[in-house]
Amino acid sequence: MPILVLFNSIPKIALAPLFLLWLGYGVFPNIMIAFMVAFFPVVINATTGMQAVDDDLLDLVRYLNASKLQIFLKIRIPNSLPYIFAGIRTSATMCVVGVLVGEFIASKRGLGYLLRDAQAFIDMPTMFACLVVLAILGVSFFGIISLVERIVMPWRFTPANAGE
Amino acid sequence: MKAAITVKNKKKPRRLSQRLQSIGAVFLFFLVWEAVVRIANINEAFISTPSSAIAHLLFAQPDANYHWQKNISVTLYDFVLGFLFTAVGGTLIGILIGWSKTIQKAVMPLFVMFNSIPMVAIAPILLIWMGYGLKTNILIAFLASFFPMVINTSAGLASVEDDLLDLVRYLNGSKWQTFWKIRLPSALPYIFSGLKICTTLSVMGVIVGELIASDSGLGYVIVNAQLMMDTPPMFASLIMMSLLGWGMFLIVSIVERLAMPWAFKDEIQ
Repeated sequence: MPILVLFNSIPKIALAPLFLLWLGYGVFPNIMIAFMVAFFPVVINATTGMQAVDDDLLDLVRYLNASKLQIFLKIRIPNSLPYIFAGIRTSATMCVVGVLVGEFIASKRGLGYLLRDAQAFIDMPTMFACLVVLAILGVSFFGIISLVERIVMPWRFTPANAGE
Repeated sequence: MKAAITVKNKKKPRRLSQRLQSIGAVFLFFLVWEAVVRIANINEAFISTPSSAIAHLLFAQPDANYHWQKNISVTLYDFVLGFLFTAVGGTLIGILIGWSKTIQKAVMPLFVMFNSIPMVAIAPILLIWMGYGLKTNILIAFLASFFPMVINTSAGLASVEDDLLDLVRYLNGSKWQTFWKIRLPSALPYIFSGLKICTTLSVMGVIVGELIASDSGLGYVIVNAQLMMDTPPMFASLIMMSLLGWGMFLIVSIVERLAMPWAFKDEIQ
């Protein structure tokens, strides 16, 4: 955990040039950069969610002779799901940023490359077109995540809880 | 909503032994790193040892001059100004949105739309409009961290318990009084958590600006060192950036304690 916190305090975006140095140019280093940038919010949120279980509930289940595995599967994981999804939402945004920066610095393809290329020619329409596509990508990412969230945690979206 | 805040603030005070343990774990991590690189005899062009990164930072190198003082101060300047603009501007606009339903209805959809564009993608456009330099980097940092700040502030202002508002209205509290004595104090936890997010995002914004176009700053050092396959200054820059982010985080935490002493009562006992 302290090592995770240490890594989390590094601005991961600055690791991008290092990854390019290690892995060369291309698609794979960009994926790795996006992974690095977006990884920690999910880990930290999932850990927080696992620990945020109501103590009374744990006591009750222990009293009912639940095994550790059962506690994990039936209590801890369902309880941490909202946290995990919040983390995934954050990391969806971060992923786009990571890929873009990777493409900015070194790439021959991708929207980040197109942006830089258009910048060199002061080609504003192309740049704004990139922004529109990126916005659509971001929104549809969010849509997919929300959809999965509804499927995985149907109890959060019952009419009784709809107001929350 | 209220319950969530009290739970969040009731962090158990960390004991000294726990703190030592975390410091020990981090130290061990660096030791292992140093040892692995040295024993496996990995080329410095690939990964540098922590010790040589720090040596590059502290001592003049024979083969290259990295102008640490200049580059660090440039990044620091950009970061602090960008962060301050965000902190002040974001909070004020958040308050405006929280204050008036009309403004909220007019502005919020716009904000949501802008928020779905990755701010980093705007950086090249800003470079065309404003040219290279400090101003651009400050603006990128501002844009990258602006929206979380606004959204946190307005969410905080909206999180007041309705019963409390009814009570104050019953006691003839003016709108102004309600704001100062009720809404603002209850929004403070949200504002400070927004500020903490902003520290990370502003560092990121400044670094991105410096990575794609700049002639000074830590991001520039990293790109330059990448071209030379010179890893120690890259790691040294990473260390400095983390310290900048940490320092600002620490300052925000201290101000948080001063601004809302009631939230930390448990820890002092």
